[in-house]
Amino acid sequence: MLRYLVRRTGLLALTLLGISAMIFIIVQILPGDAADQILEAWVESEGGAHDMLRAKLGLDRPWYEQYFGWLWGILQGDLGRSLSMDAPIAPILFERLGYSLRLAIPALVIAVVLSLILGVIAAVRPNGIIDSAITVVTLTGVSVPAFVSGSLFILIFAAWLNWFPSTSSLSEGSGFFHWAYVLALPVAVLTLESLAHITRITRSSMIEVLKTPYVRTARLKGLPRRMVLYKHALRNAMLPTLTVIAFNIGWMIGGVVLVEQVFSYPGLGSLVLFAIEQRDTPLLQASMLFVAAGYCIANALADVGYALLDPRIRYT
Amino acid sequence: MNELSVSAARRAGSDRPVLTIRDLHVSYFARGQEVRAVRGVNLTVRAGETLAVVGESGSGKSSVAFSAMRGLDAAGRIMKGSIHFGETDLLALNAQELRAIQGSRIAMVYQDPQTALNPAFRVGDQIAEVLKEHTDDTPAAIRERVLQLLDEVKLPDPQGVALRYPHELSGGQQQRVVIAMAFACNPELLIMDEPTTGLDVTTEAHILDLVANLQQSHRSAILYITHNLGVVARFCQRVAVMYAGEILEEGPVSRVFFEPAHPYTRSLLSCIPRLDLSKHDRPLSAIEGRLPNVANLPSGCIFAPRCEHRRDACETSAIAVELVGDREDDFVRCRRWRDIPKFKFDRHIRKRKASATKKAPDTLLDIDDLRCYYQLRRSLREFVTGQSVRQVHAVDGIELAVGHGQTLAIVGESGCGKTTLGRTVVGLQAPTGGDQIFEGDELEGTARSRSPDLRRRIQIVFQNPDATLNPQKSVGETIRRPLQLFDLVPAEKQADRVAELLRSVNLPASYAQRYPHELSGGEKQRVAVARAFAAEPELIVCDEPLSALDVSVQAAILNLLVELQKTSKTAYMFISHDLSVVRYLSDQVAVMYMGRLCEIGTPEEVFVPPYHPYTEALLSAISLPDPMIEQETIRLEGSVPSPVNPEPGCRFASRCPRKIGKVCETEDPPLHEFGNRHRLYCHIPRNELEKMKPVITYTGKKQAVV
Amino acid sequence: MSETTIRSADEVEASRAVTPPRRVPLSLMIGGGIVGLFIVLAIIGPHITPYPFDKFHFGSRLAPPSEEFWWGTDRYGRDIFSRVVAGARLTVFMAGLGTIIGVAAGLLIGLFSGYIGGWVDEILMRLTDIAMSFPGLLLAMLVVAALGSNEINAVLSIGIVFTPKVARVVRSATLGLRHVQFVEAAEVRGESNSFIIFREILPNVWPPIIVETCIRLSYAVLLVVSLSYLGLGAQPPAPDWGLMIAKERAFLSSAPWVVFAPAAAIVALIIGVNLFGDGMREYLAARKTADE
Repeated sequence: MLRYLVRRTGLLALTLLGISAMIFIIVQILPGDAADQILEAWVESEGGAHDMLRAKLGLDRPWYEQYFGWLWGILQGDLGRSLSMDAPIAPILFERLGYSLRLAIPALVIAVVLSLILGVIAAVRPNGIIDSAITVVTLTGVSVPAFVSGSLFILIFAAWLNWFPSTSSLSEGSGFFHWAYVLALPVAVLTLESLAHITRITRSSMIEVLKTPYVRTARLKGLPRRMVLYKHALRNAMLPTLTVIAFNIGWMIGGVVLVEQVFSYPGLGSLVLFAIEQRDTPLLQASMLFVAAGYCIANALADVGYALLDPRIRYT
Repeated sequence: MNELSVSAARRAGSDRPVLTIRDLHVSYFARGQEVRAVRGVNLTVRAGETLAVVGESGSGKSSVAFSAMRGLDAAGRIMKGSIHFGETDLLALNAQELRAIQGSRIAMVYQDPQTALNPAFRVGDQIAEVLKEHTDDTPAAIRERVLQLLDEVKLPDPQGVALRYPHELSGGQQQRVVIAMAFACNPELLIMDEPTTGLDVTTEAHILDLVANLQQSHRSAILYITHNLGVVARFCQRVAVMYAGEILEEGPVSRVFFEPAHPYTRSLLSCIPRLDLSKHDRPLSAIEGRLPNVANLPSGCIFAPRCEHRRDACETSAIAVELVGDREDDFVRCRRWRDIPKFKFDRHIRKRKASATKKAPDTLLDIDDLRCYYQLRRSLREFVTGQSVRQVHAVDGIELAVGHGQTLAIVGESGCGKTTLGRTVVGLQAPTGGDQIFEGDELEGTARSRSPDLRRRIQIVFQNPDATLNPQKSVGETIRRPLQLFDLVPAEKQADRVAELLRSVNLPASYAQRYPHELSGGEKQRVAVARAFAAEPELIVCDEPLSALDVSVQAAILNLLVELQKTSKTAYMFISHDLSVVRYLSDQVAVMYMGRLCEIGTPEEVFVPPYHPYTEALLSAISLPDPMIEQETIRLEGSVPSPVNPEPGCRFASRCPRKIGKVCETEDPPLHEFGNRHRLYCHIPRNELEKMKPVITYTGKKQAVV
Repeated sequence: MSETTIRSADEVEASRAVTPPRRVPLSLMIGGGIVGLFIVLAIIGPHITPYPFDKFHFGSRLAPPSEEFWWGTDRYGRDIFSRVVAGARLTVFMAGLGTIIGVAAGLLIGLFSGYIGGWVDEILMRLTDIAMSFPGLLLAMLVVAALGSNEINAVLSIGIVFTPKVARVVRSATLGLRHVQFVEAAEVRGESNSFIIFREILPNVWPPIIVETCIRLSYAVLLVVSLSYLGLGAQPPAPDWGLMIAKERAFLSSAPWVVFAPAAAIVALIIGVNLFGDGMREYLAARKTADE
């Protein structure tokens, strides 16, 4: 297991390196450079100002120096300075990350628990009434983009019923119930989306596993039905589900961007969007790296979970 | 009769029925269609006896097995009939009452132990689960019992094995675990569904010995489902022959084998290759036609359309059961069984060394010191610590020759390197060293590096008929491709040539338009043979081409291969694990173990003493479809050692029952030559080898069966 | 050979098993119908709208649905029904084109990577690993940010996001066939790499590719509308569904129809594609088991 962990960590580090390179390359394609952005407002700048600014930002250095300089900074915890906010990026990023996690983590936990239960219930009698109902609901769930369901939720629960606020601004120091009240709608939107995906996968892998000879063996040992379902079958059906959960984190991050936009919520997603709109390259680079790294780590954790569940992986 | 069945028969004194199945009908429902898989089956299993249900694929034998413990899956349903377990009506039980019986009083052993065990749990826990469910024992007592069971099924180191996961055990060990699970609660009835299919013969022999012993100590009755008549003859007292969902004949094993009443049983018995049957004796009798279409069952005898003794009445009126002996479970379902000629079980008794003087034909392919090693990936740690490269020695210094128009069979258990050898000859794999001289030309490593002409002259027929043809290409395209590629036939004449090739494998020319999914397994294999012959090769490597086919289909393909060889003078390198098939088809037999050659010679030389100790053990392990045979009991202990960087010395030394000492482990075995070209690699002195006794004899006879 | 082993052609013909008729799943038909409708709309949509999609009716801004404006009007008084119908073309073409780019590129990479193997495979797969380490929408956003916000770049970004995923699927299907006997038979004959890849392997990887394409198509629609919702796809005044929802968001509570209509169109299209994909998977699986 330890060997596997070491290997997986090594792979993670390599992937992160690749990601940083890819982000750097793509961002360098951005038309114009940061100096142009800053000077845009400053129309009457003298000719020399541009070059001076470039030198100050380090843009006159060759690309590899820039890249490795950036990497070196990250390793030391320095993510650079935002051009548009004229402030160090790291604190902003961590603050926004905190906000986003408050959306994503509750949504993921609720979705995983519910969808495992729903998936098993649906798989026990494929094409039965309950299964058909679940299929219809989940099919709708995967077919509604987060911004559509978000808008409808606002309309129904905020505008018409007036149960929850339509924008989710947080003030520090407010209690748990205030949070729950403010975040209920965005979390619900995110939950629905993931719930649908994970339920569909749990259902189909459960159906496959229920057909396997070892489930039949368990049944013909005379074990009670719930033992067969929840011990023998679910454990093996969890494997593909785990991969989808990890994959879903990717969609959830996308969903977070949309949901934050719908609810005007100051998370990481809206920061990325802000960086794109402001052409704030250092901020864009850093926030993208942050998001991608988070996703990679989630994937790596899922792989480790996979290895824990499936004894066949551990020794390879 | 061999020892096992005698002792078992003695015990079967009590006539108390354990399982009584009456008029069982089972149907499967798929996409709104009903498939009537089992129709009107009656079976009685009595206390302590072993009843075999034997049949080819599609006979419904497994459906009967699963019905017997109400274990059919969701698509299958018992439509009619009754199943009594002792006095209990199994069909009347509710789910809870049924669970109390399943796994404790009726237990099952499955076909494929690898999929029958849950990959996510330790095997000890999977056995303990049965005890937890059906007994009130304390956890400590259960743990104790699990270890005892693992010991009972002869697994070394029960403590260690209990903690393993299924994938860490070999196929034979997994099946032992399943057997331990089945015997955990001393079942009165054990249902075994092809328990040794997919296992090597030496493992099969061990498993059968084990079950026979456990049956004795636990006094269980066994319902044994199999397609293998050899196992029936060796292991069971009574047998029911199933075909297309019906039992055609049932009776004591000796009666059914010596005086089979039903034409189907007769055909089955004469279509299987036996150790005393060679292609020079007679063609095998294949069964014409196909299984009847279940959507359109014939109204009379189910076998009538394929029966060579049928009369019109067979096909129209219902067939009554007729008693053959004086017991009600000794019967046949045939109206003509008294009228048809008496069945002759043709045993062949040969003079020793009858073929020893035959002149050897010219050599076509000469293989010398051929070696194929696979390099294992080095882990980072091995790389850092500088550990030497780990190599699997799949083929390790093989020397043999194939003669023009001859059949050389390569036989051995899985992992012995026989397939690698074949793949190297056709160029699917490059050898690590050694020479392959094909009619004076050195064969380059891979097929692509060989000249087109050399490629044409060596062809291959693969094992799995379902994978051998490209599903997206018509039969015609498949067969035409070699004609185009090697420029053998001008374009306008290719269609004619394809038709001709199809006819030569006994398929109608119209099959050129068919796609593989429209063909049966046997037909696909015929097309594969036609594709190989299309290139007009001089050598065809046949890699287990029969192992996925039913015996009746297998017979037809074997006959076809013999026939085609006679007309085309093509040589075969025939790779197989089945000694009887090899015996039937081959001119020369090479026995392989762990990448090395044990012995090579004609079948008449290899299958009689002097033996290589491994050949001796193989012969002792095989199950032959003849209850009048006596076999020595030689069982190989331990497991096959790792083929990674093997130790020096004889590869078989670690398991050899005749090991003579240290020399076996340190030095390569010397070559002994006997007779004409019989070569044998062993440290045992020549005079000792010559004193060996036959492993297989007819009851009361001294000569080896060959 | 004995007489008994030779079967006459007619006998073989007669014994041929009758295969049961293949049923087309209901979901495939319904999904196909919905997708077909949207494709028809995409082709003829702009020609059948009651009003030009960008025509202002200043007299009736934010008008509720009526005889005149079936689904109401937006804040400039543009007819929402016309805009939604006209918008089908944008969404369908963008999603379709993005999918085609991604599937085509992924197919080629997957086939070669899977068949050739070795270091080529190793490098290509590490690259796809990296590309797949970005959440799909984020990678698309990054690409659009680099290339500029417009329809073409949005399509390109979808293609880029999909390529590695499709390549993975195709590669694993190819690897599964790499050592299948009919491929090995071709190798023994000495067929060229391109013959083996395109004539032996490709025809057999279509089923997983078709299923994957359906899945991709539904994600493509999601990506298209999401990008335009974020302002990174089509730009005003294009009648893009996502854009419409984003721009009219402020009037959600007072004039909900401004959001209802495009939202309904989006959901209907994606449900259609998903149904089609589910049905297709079911159909292909059934066909496979029927063949075996």
